[in-house]
Amino acid sequence: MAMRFSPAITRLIAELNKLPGIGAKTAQRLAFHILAQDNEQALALADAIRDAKQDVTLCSECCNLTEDDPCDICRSQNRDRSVVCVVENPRDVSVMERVQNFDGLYHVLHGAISPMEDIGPEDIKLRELLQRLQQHQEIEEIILAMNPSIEGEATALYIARLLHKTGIKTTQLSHGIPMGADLEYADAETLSRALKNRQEL
Amino acid sequence: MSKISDKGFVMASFPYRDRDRMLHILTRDHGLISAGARGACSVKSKLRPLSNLFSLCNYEFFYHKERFYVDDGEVIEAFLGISESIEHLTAASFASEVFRDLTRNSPPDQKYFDLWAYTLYEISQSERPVLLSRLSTLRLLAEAGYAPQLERCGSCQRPISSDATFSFQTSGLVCGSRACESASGDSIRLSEGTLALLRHVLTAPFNRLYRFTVTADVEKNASQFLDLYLCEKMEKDYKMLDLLEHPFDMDLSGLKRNCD
Ligand SMILES: [Zn+2]
Ligand SMILES: [Zn+2]
Repeated sequence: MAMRFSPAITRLIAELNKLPGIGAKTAQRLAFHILAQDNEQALALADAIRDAKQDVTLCSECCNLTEDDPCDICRSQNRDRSVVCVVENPRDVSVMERVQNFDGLYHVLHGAISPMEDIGPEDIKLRELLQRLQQHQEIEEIILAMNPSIEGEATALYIARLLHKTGIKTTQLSHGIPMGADLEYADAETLSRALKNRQEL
Repeated sequence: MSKISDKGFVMASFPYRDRDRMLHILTRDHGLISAGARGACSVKSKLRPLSNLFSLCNYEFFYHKERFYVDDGEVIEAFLGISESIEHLTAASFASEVFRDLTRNSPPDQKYFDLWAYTLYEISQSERPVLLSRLSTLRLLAEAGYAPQLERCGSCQRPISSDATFSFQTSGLVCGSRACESASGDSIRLSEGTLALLRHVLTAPFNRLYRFTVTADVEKNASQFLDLYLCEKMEKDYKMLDLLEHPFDMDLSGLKRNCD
């Protein structure tokens, strides 16, 4: 039997419930926690959300989340502009940044092709990647660093096929990262090895 | 808390909570179950390889508070051929959705597990994965008791062997008689080749189910029928294959690098 709350509380619970990993019970607990806080504390959360949404955009070059466009990495003079590492999520960029021996650029797809989640090639930042490769002839190599899942693998093979015969070298992180693991949870040493042993597709 | 061992295919796998995954597993003996895999996103988790979409595994589950959890197991086959192309991935995903819908409320029966095993294997190997996935839904419906009548007129039961019209109203073919024609309602013309293919799929043993050759015309006609029949019987519009109807369209000639 569902409990009844006033419309405003119900709405807050419903919004929290939409967040990943937040079930109905947790949403309720969080909502009552927020309501128990004093005004200043509770509104600081609302402000942080509003500001982040206002100030954070996608980098027009690499599609990573950034407050300055282009982002720090794309603007940096110390990076190898001939290599672009393609990842699924902004989180993966920070993971790759822990790897000392990578100094190229990134491209964030914001997902992988997944029919089950109704995500096709047009729903990820693939067109942006291809446009970037057209505009920046200095890019010579694409490193595909998708998560080693069925969907990540299919996305990588799909991109590799599009780039076939363009003269752009397409490589993939070696499978030092076990199948099914999220890049996010791989340690820097494993990633570094996978990067060094990357294989041409 | 009780423990259960069973073989199963991962039919769907979703991130859940921080590092968990929620799996829909078609098991051999317990039908379709939902099972949590705690910590499965972590690299070092032993549940990680057991949570991959489409993998076939030996599972140890424990059952606690009306929920299954994956406790342990080993991968038997990962079916990596599915990632070969978007067509393969989409075909397998579509078939998985239909299998999940149909087995969700059906009593456990090993025939569903066996049919999925042959289907997934063949999709992973085939050059026509989408056609195979559509055909698998017809056999699945037939196994569940929803076979179309492709030997007789659906109204008067007169045997029909050549090309014919199929009536969704009677779920059978339509003979030439005026009475049967007027009772037919929504219908589709099936060529002789299509009928032969569909009859084969309804009756062949699973291990020979996907052994056939068809022309492009038959593939088109059969696909039309299969989509309509599935929608009619499941009372649901399956959209997953639509993903393939709008292929990624972009002029890639500007990507070429000068190789000097
Ligand atoms: Zn950038
Ligand atoms: Zn008749």
